[in-house]
Formats: sequence, C-alpha cells, structure tokens
Amino acid sequence: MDFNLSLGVKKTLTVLNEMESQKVIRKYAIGGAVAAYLYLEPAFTADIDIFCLLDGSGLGADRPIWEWLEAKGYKDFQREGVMIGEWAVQFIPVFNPLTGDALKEAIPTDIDGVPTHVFSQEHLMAICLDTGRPKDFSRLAHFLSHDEAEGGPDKSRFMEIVNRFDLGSKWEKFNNRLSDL
Amino acid sequence: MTSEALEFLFQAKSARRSELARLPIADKMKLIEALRDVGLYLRRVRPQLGSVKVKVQSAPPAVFDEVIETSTFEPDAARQLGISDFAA
Repeated sequence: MDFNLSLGVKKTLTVLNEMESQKVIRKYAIGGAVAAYLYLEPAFTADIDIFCLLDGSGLGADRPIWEWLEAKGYKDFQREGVMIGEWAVQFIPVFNPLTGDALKEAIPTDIDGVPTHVFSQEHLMAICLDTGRPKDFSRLAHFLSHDEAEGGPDKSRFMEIVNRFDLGSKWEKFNNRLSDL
Repeated sequence: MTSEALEFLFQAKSARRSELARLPIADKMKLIEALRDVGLYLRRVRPQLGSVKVKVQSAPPAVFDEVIETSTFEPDAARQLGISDFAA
C-alpha cells in the first residue's frame, strides 16, 4: 500500500501538547474510537475523543480550554467537536474513577514523530463494558477476539480492571448476551 | 484529499484484516483519516453524485469492509471524484 498521505492528526496533537505544556489541561490522552482503531483494524469515525484532567471541577472548569483555543483562532465547531487541524476534537474531562485511571495509565505513544498518550486497550475495553451501548459491546467483542500473542489485550489485566472498578455484574451480563448470539 | 483517500482505501482493500490490525500506528492513523475523509465527504455530496452508493456505518467490526464493499462507483461519479481507476 502507498502510505504517502499526509497525517493531519500531527497538527491536532501538537496543539494538544502545547495546551498541556502551558497547563491549560493537566494531562490528556486519546480515547474512544480512534484509540480503539489504533489497536484494532481501522474503521470510520468522524471525531477524536480527548480525555483530559482539568484543574478545577464542576461548571466552568473547562472554560480555560475554550478561552485558550479561541485566542489561538480555533473557533470552528463541527458536530460536537472543535476543529483543531483536520479533526473535530471532543474534550471529555475524566468523569469517574475508571476514566481517571485510564488517563493515569495511558500509554506514551509516538505518532509519526509527535508524542502523545493513548488509553490502554484493557482500559478501553473496561470503558466499553461500563458504557454498554450496542456499539460498545461490539467493540469489546472485537477486542476479545484478538490474541494477546498478536498484540491483543492482556485479558488478566482487563479482568483486574473489571474487578477493581466493580464491573463484575456488567461483565456477567455482557457474557450472557454474547452466548445468546 | 478525498479522491486521494479513496484511492488509498482501494489499495487497502486487498489487505487482510489481520494485516490491517498489525500495521504501524502512523499507517493506521492514515487509514483512519482516509476513512473519515471519504465517509464525511461522500455523505455530504451524495445527493449530487446520484450514482455513488456508499454505506457508512459506525459500528465496528465490519465498518471498514462495508465502506469498501458496498461502494459502487460508476464512471461519471468516479470522474467527479477525480478517480481514474476505480475497478477495484
């Protein structure tokens, strides 16, 4: 395959790294579909989900993000995201202990020379299990079909996360639905 | 960008799923961006193209295949997208 296409996400990540270094956000990592497709085979997604840790909490805690972006000229919104380079970026402040842990344990990754962090596949799986929409269950099943020896998830680490965040009953429900198929 | 992305995806069509899963991270990202561009672009212009039939769904794992497999490009539509060789 000819991989000479330019990579638009480099611009997006460079801006996010600048926000982190200037302490507009304390830490960020790529989650959601883009993160999943970096482990699985790629598929269509319109937006990139950026999970972040902010200094404050509650209403208005994310105001520094929007003020900083506006000052830099990033004012265009498409769908639910602000356009940074070619990507519509959704900023998602960590909203529970599981997403907080996913951010804390995010994996340092280099994408074509630009450093970033990506949620681990075991955390992505646990978030899918916790969220529980049909597309999340489908993605979780997809992760589970990948062998660890071929770069797939560490299933014992996944189960450790399931147990630590009290997702046992959701795991049971997921397995029941899977066996019904 | 879109016609380049579409041609790129036609090349990727011949790759096996397991090969796609093992691609280096930057190459996967390029595929993700190509799929995004083609999906968003074709959705937007579909009424004008008429003969282009593209089904883009958001649920994995079959999306990649569906973007490719259910795409029917007829000569006029392909020419509008600037694609010369679409008989993939």
